[in-house]
Amino acid sequence: MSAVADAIGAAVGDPRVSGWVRAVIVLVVGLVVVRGVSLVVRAIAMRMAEPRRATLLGKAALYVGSLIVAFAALRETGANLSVLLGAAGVLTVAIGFASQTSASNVISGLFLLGERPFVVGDIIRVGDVIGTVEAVDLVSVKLRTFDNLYVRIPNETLFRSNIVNQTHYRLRRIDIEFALPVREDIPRVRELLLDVAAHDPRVLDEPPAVFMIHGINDAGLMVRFSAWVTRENYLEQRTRLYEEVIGALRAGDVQLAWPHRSVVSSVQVADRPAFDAPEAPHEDAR
Amino acid sequence: MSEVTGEATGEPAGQGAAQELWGPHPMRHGQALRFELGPMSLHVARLEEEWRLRHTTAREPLREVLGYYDALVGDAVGEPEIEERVAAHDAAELRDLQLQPLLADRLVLARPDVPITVLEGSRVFVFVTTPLWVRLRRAPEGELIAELPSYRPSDSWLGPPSGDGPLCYASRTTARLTLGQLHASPMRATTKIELRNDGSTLRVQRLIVPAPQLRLYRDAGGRFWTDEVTVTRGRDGAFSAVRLDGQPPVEAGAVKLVADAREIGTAHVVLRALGSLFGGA
Repeated sequence: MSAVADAIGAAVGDPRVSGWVRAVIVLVVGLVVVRGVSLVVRAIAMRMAEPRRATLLGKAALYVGSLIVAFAALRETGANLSVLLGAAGVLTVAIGFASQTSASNVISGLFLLGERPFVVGDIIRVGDVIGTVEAVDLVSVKLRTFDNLYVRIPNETLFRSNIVNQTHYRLRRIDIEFALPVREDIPRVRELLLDVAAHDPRVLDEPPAVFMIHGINDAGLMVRFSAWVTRENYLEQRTRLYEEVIGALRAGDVQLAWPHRSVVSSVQVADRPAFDAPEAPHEDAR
Repeated sequence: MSEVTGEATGEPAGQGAAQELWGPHPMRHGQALRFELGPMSLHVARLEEEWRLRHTTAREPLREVLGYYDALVGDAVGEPEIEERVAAHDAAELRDLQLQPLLADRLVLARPDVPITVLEGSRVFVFVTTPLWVRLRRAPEGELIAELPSYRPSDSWLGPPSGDGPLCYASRTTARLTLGQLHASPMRATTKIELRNDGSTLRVQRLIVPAPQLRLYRDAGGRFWTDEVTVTRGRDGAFSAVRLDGQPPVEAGAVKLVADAREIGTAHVVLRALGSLFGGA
């Protein structure tokens, strides 16, 4: 390769030309080799990691390799790399200051890729946004909400926020809360509701459905009925379970309790009003 | 068990016996049959462009009615019914409908009527029934029209809610220590499980029937049986072996194989499930 470049330089009559020819050859051959290496890296990573990570690794190999090839080609032209590297360092600092947010997003994205709190297809809640993960990119995550909105969340925001992954586990629990009058026959209500769970094949037999009283307030007894379903059935089953519970309570003639307040007035003297009537204004006050 | 023939039109569709129920049913365009398959009532109509299925399931898993008879295309099978339409253009005037019984497509979790205590160094036999599925095919080509459970068991889960499962079914009927105590139902298969306990005393509250790994048989009386299952618990308290014996229990007598296992027998699946059930086995 070097001999060919020297011969071309001699033929042109300028020794600098041979350096440029060598640089072009290094660039072309080097980029082809780097491209091949990145494909191999990606193929190997595909076997060990998810496609998204494998693609990122392949791209990283391509960019790093291309940079090395570019420096090698410049070296062939006789360029002073130390000056170039110094300039690149200053430029990097300048760009770094200018792109703090982007860099932060990229670094957060790398951490999220490593931590994997969710994957494409999961349903997550970030703040007050709930949606299906459409894409996990280096600087942002794209969600599609249930009302079909496209939401882009920067990785830095995700990294700082509480992420609730609603589809991480295979099972979900449906909680139905309501109030019962204190006088209600609680064992009977418990039996009615557990019977609902037992006769709905989509409600899991195990973990078992649970009926519990978790407080008393101005409405009455606060009751919670909890049943487990698979995450695939969760949305549909939640509505169905409400329907079944309401149906069972109606069929069992069980009344729900609502917040109420009893006002008791005691009249000690028959001719005295319960509340003092406002006095009539004096004449001179008019 | 009771059998039903010719109730709808007064004309028996066939002999009506259980044996013929599982045989081919020649059907013309515009013809309908109603099948009573234990808890499930199934109405099948053959039209030129589609097979129309309507079915409903009774709340009683042990309903014993079994048979079939001619019906009209628009007949209802009861409320609430589920309708499925299978598009299949078929110019042939006559086509056979083939019904095949088979076992559940997931593990089935069964509870004994009372917890069983198996003493150290002893063994017990437990009998349990699980509901059958019905596969409908267009004969003779064998295209699948539908596969339906005669009774849809409740979903259940083995292991902690944050674990990997597996998802299984929960049998609503109880397991028994003697065959005579077991309630026989025409649309359920009986599995005999042998529990060998070499470890400390074991209290069994739930049993796993590895239905997808078992073959299904029918005896001369029309009762369904599965391969026998043997579970061994070692001295260390871990379940060391599950043997799917590949043959029905001796109580079944002479039987005929009616369905192969859905999955090739992998006893470690059952062992892992037992581990989830008893925690750390």
